[in-house]
Amino acid sequence: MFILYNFGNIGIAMSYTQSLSSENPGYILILIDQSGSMSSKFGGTSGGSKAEECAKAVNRVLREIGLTCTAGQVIKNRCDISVLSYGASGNQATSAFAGNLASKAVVTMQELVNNCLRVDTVKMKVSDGAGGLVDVDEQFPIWIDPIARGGTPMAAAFEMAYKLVDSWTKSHQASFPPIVINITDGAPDSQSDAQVAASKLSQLGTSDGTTLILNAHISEGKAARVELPSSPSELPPGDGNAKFLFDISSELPPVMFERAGAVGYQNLAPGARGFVYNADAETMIRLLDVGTRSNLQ
Amino acid sequence: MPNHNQNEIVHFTMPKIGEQKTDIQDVCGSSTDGSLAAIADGASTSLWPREWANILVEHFCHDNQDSIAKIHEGWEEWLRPLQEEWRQHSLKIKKDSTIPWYAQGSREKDHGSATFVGLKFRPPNQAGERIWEALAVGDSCLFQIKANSDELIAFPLEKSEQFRTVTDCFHSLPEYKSYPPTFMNDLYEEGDIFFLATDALAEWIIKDCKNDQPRWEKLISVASQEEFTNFINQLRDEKRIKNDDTTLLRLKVVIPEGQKTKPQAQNPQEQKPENPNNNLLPIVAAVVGISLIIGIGFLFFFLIVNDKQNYNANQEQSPPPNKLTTSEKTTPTVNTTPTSNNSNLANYPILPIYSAESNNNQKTIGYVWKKASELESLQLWVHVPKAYLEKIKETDKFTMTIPVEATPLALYIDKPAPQDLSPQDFAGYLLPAQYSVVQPIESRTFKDARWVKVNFRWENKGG
Repeated sequence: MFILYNFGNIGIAMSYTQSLSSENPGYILILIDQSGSMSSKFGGTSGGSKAEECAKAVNRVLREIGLTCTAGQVIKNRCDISVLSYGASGNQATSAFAGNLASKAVVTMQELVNNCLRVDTVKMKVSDGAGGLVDVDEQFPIWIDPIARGGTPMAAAFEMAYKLVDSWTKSHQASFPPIVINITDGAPDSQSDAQVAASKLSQLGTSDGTTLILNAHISEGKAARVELPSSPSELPPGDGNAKFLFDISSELPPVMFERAGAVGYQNLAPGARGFVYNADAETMIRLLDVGTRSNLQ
Repeated sequence: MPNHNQNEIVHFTMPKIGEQKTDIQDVCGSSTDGSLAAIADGASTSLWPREWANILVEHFCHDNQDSIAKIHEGWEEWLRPLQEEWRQHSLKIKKDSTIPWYAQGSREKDHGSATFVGLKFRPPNQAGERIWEALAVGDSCLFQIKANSDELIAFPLEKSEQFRTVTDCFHSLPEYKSYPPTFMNDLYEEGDIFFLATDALAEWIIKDCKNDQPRWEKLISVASQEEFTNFINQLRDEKRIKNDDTTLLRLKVVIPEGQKTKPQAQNPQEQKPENPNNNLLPIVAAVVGISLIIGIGFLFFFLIVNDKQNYNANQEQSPPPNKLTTSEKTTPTVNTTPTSNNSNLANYPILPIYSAESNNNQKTIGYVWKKASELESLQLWVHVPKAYLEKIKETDKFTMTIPVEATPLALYIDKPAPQDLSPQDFAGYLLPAQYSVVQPIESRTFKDARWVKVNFRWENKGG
């Protein structure tokens, strides 16, 4: 389906240019691998397990998106959210929301912001304007708790995402296309199933372009890291999983390409894909930033 | 002291499509006496933007200095107490546990940002001039529509390409470097209309001016919020205006009867009234320049009268007034002319003058008006292309050779220096010939021209 190229009066359609607004909200889906292997630690950092770091990163990203959509005390529905987990519930993918949001696979920003599970506070010092410092609480809402058990039914996650995106795009044809960010630490149970499911998903879209799929492969080892490659030749040779994830990752549209440069990615080549391999926590966070903050200014 | 104005001020505002009135981050306001007005657009991704916009507008509209040029010169000092007020507000919020996490900001979202335009109407000065001043940062704009005119002056932006997604702002904490504001002033009078508009509307107005059938003038007569809402919704449906908070403050200048005084100066100074010194010489030089081009023209007489005003009206200082003309006609404002010139409109300079170097009555070197004969000096100023001048070696004398095919040069009554000359001092013209002159003075308007004096004598009676 070439939704892209048949649209518009100018000949070549300008895609991925719509901004996120209450009138035309965006849609971000985060797929989290909650397989057993996620319980081991990240390499190199003295932090928690991959599951814990991943949950923390996702909670932080949701917090940033929430803050960006808020002016004063007013929350604007500029972006819908889904967080799907796979692995912890057998062969299925499920919505990772709990509490009040447990029954909802897609939530508006207002629903998300008003229904976190709890708020953690961290003490912070800020200037009092008179040369001194004063203690204030910095607040961190939590939506996702880390879980790590089971296999890696990635295909199921892409299929569930497909259903949600299919339904969402039907009623949001003028919006910026959906952005799917997959965080995994390993290989899917069935690579071929996952490839098919992802490929189908990538063909859905809006008048502003097709669904974008970004992949963050996180790892505990010290293996060579690959960030935003433009060609398979940049991948570890012979690594089938890397090649698979590369194949299902979308090329970054201009707005994300610019953001990537702004957050510190270097040596970006045209055709760079939204894919990081053997990422540590920080690299994962930066990809999440590029995927979620690029057009939510 | 009675108020020097009774300005009529109204304002209208609308949220983005799909949002509520309470979501609007634009703020506008004015002082109770109508002499100050301001508008600010809070950046919705910053922290407590509407509060910051409000602080900016409130403080500006309570300012009681003579001139906001002082704010322009010391804008960082002006901002500081406003920033501290915002800081205390945000600290209070951070300590308030009833305020939810999403209203608290974060390390990255820790300050507010807003664009700003402030406008002040000063009471008439000693010369009777009424001056308005404005300060602006970012893409909110001010527009002045002069009474009885289609012309729109826009400040600080004048082209639609200048409106971008990211704009300059004032930030609500001194830790963040705010953008310096720009300053502008100009004259105002009864009946002038001013708009203050945030970016979506400002950009549309600027684009609309270029259309064959502009619609922006409707904003002059919109009388209710409902009318405004319908007007903007129509533009939104036609996709002519960006979907954003849309705010307009409209002010009409009304001067109470007892306060109306006309400016007293004969040369109404329309730009930078604080610097009157530069006006005369360029006018004189412009008249001369035109006379060189047109030649012996009786057109000359009309140019003296009209060009004085036209040149005045088009003269631009920094920053330039960004005129967006929407119609073909530009009526030059013709003001009262000096009476001495009026009476000469029908007279031609016919008194011959002769070379001082020879007694030959036949050698007329030019013609002047009768008034020149009333003066004792036998010298006249001439504005001449430097190419006509040649220095005589080892002297400070110059030979001035006006080529035969050249047009006669304008002569001016002898005054101590060229800058003392005014259009009334125009005396007549000098014919092509060779003359002896000394010490040419550089023209301040045309770098290739010089001022020199020529000697002459009257007709020798009985010669």
